[in-house]
Amino acid sequence: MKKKNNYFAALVVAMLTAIVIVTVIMSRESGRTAAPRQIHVIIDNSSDNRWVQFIAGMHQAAEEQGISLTIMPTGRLSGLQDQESLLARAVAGGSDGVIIQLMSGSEAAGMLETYSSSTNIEIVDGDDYEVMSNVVGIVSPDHTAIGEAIAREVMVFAQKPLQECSIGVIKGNEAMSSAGERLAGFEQTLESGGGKISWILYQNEESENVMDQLAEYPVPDILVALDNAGMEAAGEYAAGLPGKIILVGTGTSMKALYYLDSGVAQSLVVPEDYMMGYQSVTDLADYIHKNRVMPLARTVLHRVIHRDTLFAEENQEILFPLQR
Amino acid sequence: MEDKGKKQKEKRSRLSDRKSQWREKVGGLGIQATVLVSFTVVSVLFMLLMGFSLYQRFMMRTRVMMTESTEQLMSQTEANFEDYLTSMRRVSDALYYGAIKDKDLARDNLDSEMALLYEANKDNLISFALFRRDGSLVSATPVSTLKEGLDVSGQPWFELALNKPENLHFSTPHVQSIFDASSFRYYWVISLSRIVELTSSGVPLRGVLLVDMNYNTIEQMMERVNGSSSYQYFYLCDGDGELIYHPRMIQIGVGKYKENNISAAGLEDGVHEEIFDGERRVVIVRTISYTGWKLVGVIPMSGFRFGAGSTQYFTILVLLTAILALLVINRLVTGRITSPILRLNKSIQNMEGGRVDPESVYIGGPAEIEHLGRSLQGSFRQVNKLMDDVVREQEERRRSELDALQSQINPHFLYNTLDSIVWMIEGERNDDAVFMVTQLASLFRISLSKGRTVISIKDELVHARNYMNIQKVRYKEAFEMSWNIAEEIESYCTVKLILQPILENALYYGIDALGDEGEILVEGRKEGDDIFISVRDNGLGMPPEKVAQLLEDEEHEERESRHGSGVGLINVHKRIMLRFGAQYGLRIESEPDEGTTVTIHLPAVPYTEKNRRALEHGTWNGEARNEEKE
Repeated sequence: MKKKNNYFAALVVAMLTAIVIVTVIMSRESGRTAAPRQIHVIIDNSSDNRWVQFIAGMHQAAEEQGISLTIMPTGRLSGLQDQESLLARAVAGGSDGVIIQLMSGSEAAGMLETYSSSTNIEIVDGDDYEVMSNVVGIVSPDHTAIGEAIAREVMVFAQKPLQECSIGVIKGNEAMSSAGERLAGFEQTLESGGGKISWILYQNEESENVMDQLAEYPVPDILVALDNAGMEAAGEYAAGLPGKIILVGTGTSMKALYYLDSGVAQSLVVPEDYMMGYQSVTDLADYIHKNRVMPLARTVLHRVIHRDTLFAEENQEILFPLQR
Repeated sequence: MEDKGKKQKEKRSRLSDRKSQWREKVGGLGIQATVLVSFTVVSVLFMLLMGFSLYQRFMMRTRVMMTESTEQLMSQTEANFEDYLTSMRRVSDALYYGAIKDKDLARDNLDSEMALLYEANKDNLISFALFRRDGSLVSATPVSTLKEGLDVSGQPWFELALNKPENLHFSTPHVQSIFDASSFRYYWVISLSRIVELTSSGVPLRGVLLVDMNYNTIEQMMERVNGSSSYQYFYLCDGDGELIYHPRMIQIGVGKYKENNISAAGLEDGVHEEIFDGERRVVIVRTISYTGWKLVGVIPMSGFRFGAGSTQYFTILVLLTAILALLVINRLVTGRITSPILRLNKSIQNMEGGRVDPESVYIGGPAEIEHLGRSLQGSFRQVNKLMDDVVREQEERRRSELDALQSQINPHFLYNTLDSIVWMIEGERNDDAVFMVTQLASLFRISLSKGRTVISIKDELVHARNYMNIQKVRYKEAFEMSWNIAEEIESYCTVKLILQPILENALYYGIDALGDEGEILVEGRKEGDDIFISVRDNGLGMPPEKVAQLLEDEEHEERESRHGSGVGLINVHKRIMLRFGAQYGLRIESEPDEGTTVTIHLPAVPYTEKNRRALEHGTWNGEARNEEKE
């Protein structure tokens, strides 16, 4: 009899436990729907036109994932210290995840290690796999491959033997590791084709206007821009010298696209920034929502666009995303 | 086949064993547990069934409501689209019929009319442009420059307008690419093109009027409707399935997402079900008049469960609470119902142990249980009475058996002894006769023992000595008689007259034929709680089969006992067993020409009045011996 009473008591306790568990799950579920997860985005010069596609992709993914997205307003970042203060602000604001375009520097790993315990960090536009242990993912174009593609386009559009062409290069923001990778890829491929860089225009936060800097260099046969800002400046420069310069480079802004559309530039290598934005938010949201636990590195593709393919159906949605 | 049968049998046997083990483990279900489990299981099953039916009904109703609500939403959106597209057509008509048709391009300027109309509709428009048939631009608002070297006559909207002059044509969305975008702005547009008649210097010409509608307007309308709920989505495609708007337009473009738009374009207006990409979903289609565009609403089946998660948890919570309440209530109810039965059961549980006090049987509870109790009480009274009768009868029977056995001794022995005394007196052996009479008197005194059947071993030994003294006289000292008795055994109980028949048998069957070489040795000892008294002779002995017959074959015993006192070994054996239990009695060991040993095995019961009475009345159960020892 006592044994049976024990069975009954155990059954009642089990039922009560189940009721408590279901109640807890219910309250958690209702809490989950009430507060969407927050992701902060730290990118260099956030209002720059080059981010239009990237931000459009992020917004699309944020909408699909039910994420609240905050793009932190930045100017031209000078180094890791700027990023660290932004990262600290995001963490203090209760960010569930931060998407960061990491600046190059030996202290990057230390900074990420400090903040990785407070939030989930995803890197974009830079494939520094050494910091992988402190981040939940990396989404980046292959900058070396972009540099190589630009070099191949230079070979295609060069109007005389490459050895005889003077080639000027606008490298881009020195603080970004991507600039160095693109230059390395470009230089290697160019040299394998017999070409040689005549001059390189370096930029940093203290650099004066690119147009002013360009004026100090001899007019090249081929002008190469390795980042969006450089492409915009180079387009403006080349537009002032119609028919004299072959302009090839990389860029994603409407201005950069316009120079291709108007025939000032001959070729544009466009990284799929829309997909980089979309994938970075999707991957980070997956991690935050516990759909995955392992870090993930992705490479987004790039497209080589010429004037006649600029408005092709397969390109226009990526190149001209609807701005929200 | 046999193997199969065996295996099945083994399987059944194993199953049965497991059931038995389980029963042993849980102790079987009591009546309350059975009723409780039955009630609860039936109630829970019923609740689950009801819950499932109601949930299904709820889900079906939800599905109908959601579909109806989606249809309403789509009707509204369709109406909005039609309004918008009609207004765009009207703008085109107004421009054509109000401005272009009446003008002579050679002398009139269209710019002001176009600018006016543009200003009035600029929220929904990107530009107007009028082209001649050869693709050259007549006029455009806002003022724009055509791209250098661009031939618009190759553009799809231009060709469509010329090839199908009877209609206005809406293109799919595209980036406007015919004008120079020196402001670095590119617009997504839907081109509305039509053929127009132009007049130049009085000569009628053909041209194409292009109204580039702002795609943002359509996108905003679709975003509004898509933002209204998260369990469904809407997209817009043309009559060929070409996407105009989709919430995941770019993902579809890069192959990261799939949509069944081509198939949807072929569907009639209404509600359809489809399985696409492994997912069942409801597709609602509305055709927007004139354009043939299809507004498609998609509700995945999982969408019908949107928000049902909390309902599901709530349902589970209600079910669990109800089951818990059921358990407690059922327990109380079954307790009330089964309590009288359990009390009745408890009151008669002692029955298994023997006697039941009829007055302790529970009488109460509902009428049926009360009646059952009374019946059991009556039955127990009757059973107790019958048991008392049986015990009494058995006791009487035992007594009479003992008395009968007892009475067998006297006549035979007395006759033989008196015959010996007569023979002595006749031979003038008066001293011997006196001795015989004295021994006989002692023998009879002990034989009688005031009617007791249980005496001390000491008296039994005196009786045996008296008997052997008489026999020695009769046999003229023809045999040797030895006694080796441990003094301690004399104070224990024995059944009366058990040694004498054994000695008699030893004389008659053991040493009678040996002449004066016969020897009889009587030994007595105590081993633990037992007493052993043995009578050993060096007589003729017996083969084993005869030894076996002695204590089993009653007829044989009767035949043999005619020669002696009339009391056979089997009678002695039975008497001992009747008094002390089946584990006691005689043991006979014999070998031909080697002699015979008969051992009496008795329990060591101290000779006290209490023990004697207990043994006499058959109430001795071994405890008396232990009590005495303590």
